[in-house]
Amino acid sequence: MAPATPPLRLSPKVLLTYPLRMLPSLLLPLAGVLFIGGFSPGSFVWAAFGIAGSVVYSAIRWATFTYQVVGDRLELTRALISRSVRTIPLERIRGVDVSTPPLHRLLDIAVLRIDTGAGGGDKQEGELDGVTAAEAERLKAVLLWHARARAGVQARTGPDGAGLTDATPGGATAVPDLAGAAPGAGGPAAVRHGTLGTPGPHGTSGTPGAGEAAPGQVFPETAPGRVFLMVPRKWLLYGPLSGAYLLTPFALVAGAVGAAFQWGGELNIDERTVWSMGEWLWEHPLLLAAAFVLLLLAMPVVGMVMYAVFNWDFTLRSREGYLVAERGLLTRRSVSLERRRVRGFELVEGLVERRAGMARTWAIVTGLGDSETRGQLLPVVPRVTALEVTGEAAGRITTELRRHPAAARRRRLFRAIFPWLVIAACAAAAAVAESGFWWGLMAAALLLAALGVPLGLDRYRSLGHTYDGSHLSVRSGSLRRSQAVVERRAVVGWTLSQTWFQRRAGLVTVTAGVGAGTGGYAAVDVGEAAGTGFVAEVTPDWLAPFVEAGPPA
Amino acid sequence: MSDQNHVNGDGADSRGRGGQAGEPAVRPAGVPLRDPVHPVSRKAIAMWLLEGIFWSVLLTLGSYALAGWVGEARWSWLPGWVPDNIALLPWLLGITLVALSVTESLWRYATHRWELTQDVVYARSGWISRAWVFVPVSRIQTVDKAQGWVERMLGLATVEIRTASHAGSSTIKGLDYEVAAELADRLARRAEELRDDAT
Repeated sequence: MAPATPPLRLSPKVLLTYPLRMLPSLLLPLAGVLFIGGFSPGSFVWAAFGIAGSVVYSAIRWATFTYQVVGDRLELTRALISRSVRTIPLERIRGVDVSTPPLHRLLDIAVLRIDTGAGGGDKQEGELDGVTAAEAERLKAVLLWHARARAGVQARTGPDGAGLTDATPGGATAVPDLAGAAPGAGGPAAVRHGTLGTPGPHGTSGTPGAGEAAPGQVFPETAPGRVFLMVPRKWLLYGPLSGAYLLTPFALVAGAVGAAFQWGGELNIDERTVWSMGEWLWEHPLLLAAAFVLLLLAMPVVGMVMYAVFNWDFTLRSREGYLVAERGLLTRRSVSLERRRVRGFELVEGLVERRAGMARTWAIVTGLGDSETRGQLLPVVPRVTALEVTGEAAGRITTELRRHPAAARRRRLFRAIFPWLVIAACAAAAAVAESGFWWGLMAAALLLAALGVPLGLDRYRSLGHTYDGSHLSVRSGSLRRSQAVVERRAVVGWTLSQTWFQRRAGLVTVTAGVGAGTGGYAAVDVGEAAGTGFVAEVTPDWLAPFVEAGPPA
Repeated sequence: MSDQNHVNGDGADSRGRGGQAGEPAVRPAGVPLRDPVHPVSRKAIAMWLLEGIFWSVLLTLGSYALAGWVGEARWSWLPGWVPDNIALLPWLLGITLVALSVTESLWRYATHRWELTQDVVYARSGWISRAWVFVPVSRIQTVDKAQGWVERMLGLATVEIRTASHAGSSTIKGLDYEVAAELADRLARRAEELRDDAT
């Protein structure tokens, strides 16, 4: 199917990046050589020798590495010492990432990563570090063309009879997730199950205007490169709300201290000097406190800067059957997710984000390794926008979440409070028997137990599950509340589990097995009848023979 | 923070233990799922018992060593009665663990059951905590038959049914070898017929 191409090399420009990239790892040995040699001419010769050696090594590596599309597979050949060929069948390619680190961008070259969905670490995946930007585009087109051709061949008919999922004609551009995601077009899902309950102000049930906002959404493939959302720069200010990178100042200081110790030895700085410096600092607690406050104040600023660097101009677009997320200031990163493999999304809100009405979303994609970083659909954006955009891109849920029974609240409270009470009791006992020092621990434990009350209540309020005829959704968590929305056809099995305590409370945890994302999404502490009813509702054929007589909830 | 997203259902406002208010008959009902048809092999009791005894012995020996150590050391921060009576620890632990092992193996035999209909594998497992697993045959990716050394000794086998998700995968332990072989074979054949690649 593919035109036979001759074996190709990476762009020679990449040779300029190798030595620079190796510099950090070479620096220490080089410094060592220079120090040991006492900066004599001989030591410089040796150091130069080392650098020259690494340059020659990179050149040989470059010269002996070739890649080639042969028939229906991509072959990466490395013939440095022994000859090794890595073969990647084109049909296994699920996505191609193109990223351009700063140095690469200067040289107009890019790093191409091939995702085969093997999920077994980097060994299984291919990386072409240093192809020209044009070649990267060409190669990406070739590789993805095959993936799309395969999508067309595989005419899939789900036995679930969920005609709303993949009944798109002209299979080459099957967009399964959009059928249920078009409130304007009145998808079958919306017809079959009307919206239950009242749509909240920021409910998931499609705010008015969501449909009209994107007239071309039903056939997005006819308009390649449609941009779902380009995150405005002022929204970067919301970044620190997610708590991401907030600890960076502390990490930097810790790194500096570690480096001081490590390099102190190398640079012949006496360890005692470092220690005495530390002791001197310890004796000036005011200075320490000031430094600590400074670091605290730096947290949001540094956090925001880091966040902005990584999420600069975050753009989510669809391009020929792929969802493409691009982001980054220095390293521009572009992740392509095959839409055919998108099975839903996960909406995550931290405690602070929730107060501010912000959220982040991730796609739930089958066979995507490292989905935590690569599956991200949106950074911190207003919740309404997140739901709207993600709904368009990855399907949406049209019904409200159902509450879990009151017994679940007791369990949440118990679990948030009881462990601290136990610790407090132990500390009190120790305080009586031993020394007064333990009263401090008891006070701290009691404080945490008191905090457990609002935490437990909030964790209970977060619990919920629902099903709208095409997508199911579960939500849990408080400090990091996460709601997963998954297509029904993605469910590959169910696990109902019940601990002894849950049995006494008449509760059960229902986990939908999904061959994507984290593998399972759980509705925690559902009522027994309601839990079984939920499974029966989503997949009636599977459960019907096993449900005991009696009306399920 | 608010819960506008919630529909008031499931008797959220019922109060009191066990949900006497709101939902009728939640407490005695339990999970409204019938038992899977087939029990596991009777020999599985022996398997769980052996495994339990093995761990009991290991832990008891460990506690014996610990008791010896504590009795010797007589740390000042420990109250005096601890090292005096520490010699009882391995006995207490051993008896408790053996009793637990017996209970566990019998209880597990009552809980562990399985069933294969045309389209779905239904298995229940656990003892203090329970799990019900439903795996549709059409989503099965691999079916493995495995034997540990205890199982081999007793002529038992484990059938591992894997789908693309750990939460949709099931492991049925303690089947007679022939039963396991037949089940694995049937599953593999049926999965071939029904294969569905939606995942």
